[in-house]
Amino acid sequence: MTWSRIVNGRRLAFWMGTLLVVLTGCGESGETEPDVSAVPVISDPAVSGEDDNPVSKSEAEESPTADANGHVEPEAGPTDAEIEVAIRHGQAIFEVKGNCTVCHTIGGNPDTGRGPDLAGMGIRAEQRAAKFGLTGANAAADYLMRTITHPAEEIVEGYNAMPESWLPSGLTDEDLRDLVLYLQSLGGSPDPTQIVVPKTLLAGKRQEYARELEQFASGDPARGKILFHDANGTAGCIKCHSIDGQGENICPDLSFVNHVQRPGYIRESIVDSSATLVRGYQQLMIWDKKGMMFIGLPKDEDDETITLVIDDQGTTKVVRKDQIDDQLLSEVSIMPGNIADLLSEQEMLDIIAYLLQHDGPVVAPVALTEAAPEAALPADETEIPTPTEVANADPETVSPPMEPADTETEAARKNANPVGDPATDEQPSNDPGERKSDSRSEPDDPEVDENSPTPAVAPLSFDVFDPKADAFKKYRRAMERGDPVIGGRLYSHYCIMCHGPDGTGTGFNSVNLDTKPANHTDDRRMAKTDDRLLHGVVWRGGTNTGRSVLMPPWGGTLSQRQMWDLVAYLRTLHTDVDR
Amino acid sequence: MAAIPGPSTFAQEQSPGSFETYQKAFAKALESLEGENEAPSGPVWLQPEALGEKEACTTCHLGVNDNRFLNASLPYRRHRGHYLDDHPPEQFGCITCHGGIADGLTFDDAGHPPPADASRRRQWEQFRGWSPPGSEGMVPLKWMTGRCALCHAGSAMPEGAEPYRESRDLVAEKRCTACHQFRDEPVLNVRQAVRLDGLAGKVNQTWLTTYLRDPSSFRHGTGMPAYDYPEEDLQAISAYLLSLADPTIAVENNGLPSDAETIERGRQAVRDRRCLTCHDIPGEAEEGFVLQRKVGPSLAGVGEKLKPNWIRSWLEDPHATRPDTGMPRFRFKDGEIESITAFLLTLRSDAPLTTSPPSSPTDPEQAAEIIANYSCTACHSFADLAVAPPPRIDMTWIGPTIFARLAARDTDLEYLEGPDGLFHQFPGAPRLFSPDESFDEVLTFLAGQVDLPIADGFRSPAPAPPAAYEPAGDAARLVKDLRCLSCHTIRGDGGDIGPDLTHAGSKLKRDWLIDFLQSPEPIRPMNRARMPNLGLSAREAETLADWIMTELKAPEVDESQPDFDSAFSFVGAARVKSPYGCFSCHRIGEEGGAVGPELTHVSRRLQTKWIYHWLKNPKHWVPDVRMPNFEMSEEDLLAVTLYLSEKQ
Repeated sequence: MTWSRIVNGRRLAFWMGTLLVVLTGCGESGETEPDVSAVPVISDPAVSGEDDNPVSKSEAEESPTADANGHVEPEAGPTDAEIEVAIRHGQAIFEVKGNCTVCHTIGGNPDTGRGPDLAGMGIRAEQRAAKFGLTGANAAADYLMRTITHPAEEIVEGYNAMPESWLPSGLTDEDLRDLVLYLQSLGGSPDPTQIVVPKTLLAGKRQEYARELEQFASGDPARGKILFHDANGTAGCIKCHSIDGQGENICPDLSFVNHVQRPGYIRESIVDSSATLVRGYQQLMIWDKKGMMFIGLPKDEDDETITLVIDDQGTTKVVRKDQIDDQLLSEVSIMPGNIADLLSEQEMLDIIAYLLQHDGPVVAPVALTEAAPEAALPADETEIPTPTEVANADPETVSPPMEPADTETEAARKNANPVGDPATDEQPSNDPGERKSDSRSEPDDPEVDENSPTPAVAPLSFDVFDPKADAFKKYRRAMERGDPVIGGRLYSHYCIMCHGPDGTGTGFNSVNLDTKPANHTDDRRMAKTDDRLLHGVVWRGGTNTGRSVLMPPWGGTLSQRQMWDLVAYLRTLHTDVDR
Repeated sequence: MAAIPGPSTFAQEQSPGSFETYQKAFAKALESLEGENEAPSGPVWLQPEALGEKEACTTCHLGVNDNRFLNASLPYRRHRGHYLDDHPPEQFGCITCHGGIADGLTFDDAGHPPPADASRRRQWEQFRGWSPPGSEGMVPLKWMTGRCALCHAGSAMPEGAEPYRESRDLVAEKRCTACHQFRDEPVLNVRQAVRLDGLAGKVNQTWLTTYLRDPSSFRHGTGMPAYDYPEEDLQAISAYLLSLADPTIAVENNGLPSDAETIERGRQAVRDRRCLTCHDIPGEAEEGFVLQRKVGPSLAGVGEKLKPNWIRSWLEDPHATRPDTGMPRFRFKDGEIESITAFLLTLRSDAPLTTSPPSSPTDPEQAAEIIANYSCTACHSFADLAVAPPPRIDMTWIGPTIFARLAARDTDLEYLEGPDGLFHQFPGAPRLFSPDESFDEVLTFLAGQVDLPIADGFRSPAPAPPAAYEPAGDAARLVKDLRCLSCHTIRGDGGDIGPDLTHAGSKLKRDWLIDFLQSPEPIRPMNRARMPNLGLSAREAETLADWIMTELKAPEVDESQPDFDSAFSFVGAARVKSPYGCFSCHRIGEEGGAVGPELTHVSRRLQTKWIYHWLKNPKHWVPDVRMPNFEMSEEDLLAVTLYLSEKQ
């Protein structure tokens, strides 16, 4: 981990220089008031030139008087030398302070990064700006600025939304300007006069971010560290995630998470890990023509083969493309879905506090006592219209999970519309799953009021397909191949010791397991899990599907049909399924 | 394409529930689908082999074997589950399983069963012209597994027919077969109940009269029915029963200790001997996995029921009192029987006893008359009375009749329990169910009582019951005395509480067996039901162990020669952790789950070759075992076996 150490060393130098804006222990000392205006701008050529020498840099930063006065102010007509200095400052922001290199490369392999490779960005910006409907002389620069400050608006196809890392990284307005200048310089012509920083709007975002930090202030990083690193504990994060060179590489490294992601996102990732799947950590399921299934992280692909990493030891499996029958990218995270259920609210705050602290404290960029900038927003003449501004504030909308509200609406809709044909309620009531879902979603026949003296009898529908049964199509495979009644019996024989009689993952043996059994009643997660993935986990066990070794394979015990019966039964345990 | 009228016009134009309505809607739906799109028009006839009668069901049930109609509404919907894979409609048809009228071409004519709720019922009546079907009506789906018994019988019921199997167990438990004759009888275990003798020394008079009035208040779910006896009959029966004396048991309590200390010792002895494995005892509970059904009766209220001396003589030798009991003869220590008796006498039931005045003795002739009147001899025999058991009533055809009568009413409960319901319409009929019990199981069983001409070759015959196992040699007397087969199965014969011992000689080690038989410690942490502590002497334990080691062998295990020389136990130690994750169920040392047996000292218990063969395929030895077959490679198999065989 020499690389990370170097980066940390360099970052440390920055912190020493920008100590004024550092809010020490964001969780603990609430009332620090960093002054935005006092942020020094690093534009001394001597400093930027020796960018990779932390000592000289920190020395230089101690005298921030050689500041922004003339160098990069567009009005003053910057000289080429000044622009050169600003670009190098921007590069330093890109590589160190802004943590952009966690996801982006410049001239690297475009297939492996979490974010797009940025080589030639200066030129591409113009094209993309047009694509996103920006016009005018400043369009390219505006586009670049917006991708940083409002990343959710500009999602490049095939990638996740970029985090608003300029906030936790503590980038100042000047930092942003130089960063854009640097991006412009990548294949394009850098022009500081085009770059307009929407100051008021950014101040608003900073304040919002400070409020968000405030919400997480009650966590105890020391306790969080214990929870994170205790492999046998409830959370046991270290079993899959690495941090500062410790831990496993099954899931994304979290060493830089505090300077890249906002705390709200970290929380969401714990509560609903499948809401955002990090690129490169999305499992690929492949079925070959012999009916065998492979699940793993796609590592390499050429014209003839796909290479999967199939376990945490890094074992690879090469599948020939002409042998592939079907393949599917999993929408569900390999992170257990029930971590949040197992942790108390305080424990979750502790873990988040630890993550926010471990690599130097994050910056609270604005004092909460400052005048609310919202009122000024519409008046900001430099502002580009941002219809999704409000949405951006909520990290969940970056990749919206199935909202609880949606589920409720769905249930309400189900209640309001009994299935088209009356005979559907003839389903055998000796089906345990059936009974359960009935009582949950269709408690009564809403069409007829039993107390009314002359009950109205609703006419029968003769529709062949109930248009509301669409959710059913999603689980077609399970329904086609399996019988939930038989599956329920198998479940209560083989599965309930760990997954529990109600499917919540709290069977009597679950207390003995380090990784807790899956909760099959988790609507959001189960709705994202493909039938074939469920079947694959039952069949091949946790080891072969990137899950816990504690889930055994049942392929040697149950027939294929019985395993499909089980999957069909699992579909009756969560509410998304309309049957 | 001519415009097809919308749904509401369908119902008005056509006669209610006629097949044209459905076929038009189906044809319209087919247009929007890919694949073969030929919609039938007119009746569709199917001639299945199983019954040989033409069926018109698929005239309306058009998508019943078509996956595209998986999520369609009825009647277009594909059949649920995969029953049609095993029962192709062209062979089995619909009526074989569902019942109904083969040539019905409207909703009403087909004999559809009533829907589950009253509002649907009104809807059906109004828009489909439905009226309750007669005895040819269909079986409501919730009781349908009973129809499996038409072809499948005995213990070979298919997967999915479990509700029927459970209903059959209930019928056996309630001893319906004492008075009624059913299909699928070989597995119903028609057996005689208690021989009533020596009751004077056994039960208390107050308890007896209370019990006769309402047996289920003393023992929930009992097979003993309640009658509405007139008071004089009740007195006469109890007086007669209490006149049956057993000269070997003293009637009066001759100085049994009943102090708190003795009771506490008794309670401890009951725990140590593991009586809870077979009996429910109120107030006594252990952690762990509880058996749903116990082999022995609940001991709640025995203190009210039984007399002290009877309990004492029972504990000394249960077989002398009831030779057919499943209870082993424990080897109690001195004083243990007294303290257990004292403890059992403290056990009360929830229901209060109603006192009755002691009545004068009944003469045997009068008693015989009453006993014949209430058909007691269907289940009981009496020492000095020769009353023939009543003839059994043929019920093998009753199903459709019952369902027809059910369909004519709104709810099944009314029919069964109402003033003129099934269980009350025959004068003197016994009441077998308490109000909180569900009739679903009974009705599931009755759904199979149909007289249908199933073609030859479609019935799967019941497998022959296994031959009774009779051990030979010195151990024979012990095995019988300890009633080992009450819990253990040997070569197909015996109970299913404990493990199958058929191959125990190739599985267990002799030294461990001798220790275990003398002081059985639980093998699985999760089990509450476990081997009782019978108090065997060392000599007895050795006799049994020798018998197991020589008699109960699995030759394929003993004769195999796994090549352990090529394996390394440290590899096994790693494999146990990953990829096999044995710890999720098994405990080794401090770590691991509580589902399977603890493996910390597993090689004290198991022979190495057995471990190898067990790991290879656990299901081969125990068909419904919860341990998965990991399909280990030979290399891993040997390594894990070697690792476990070093766990001393």
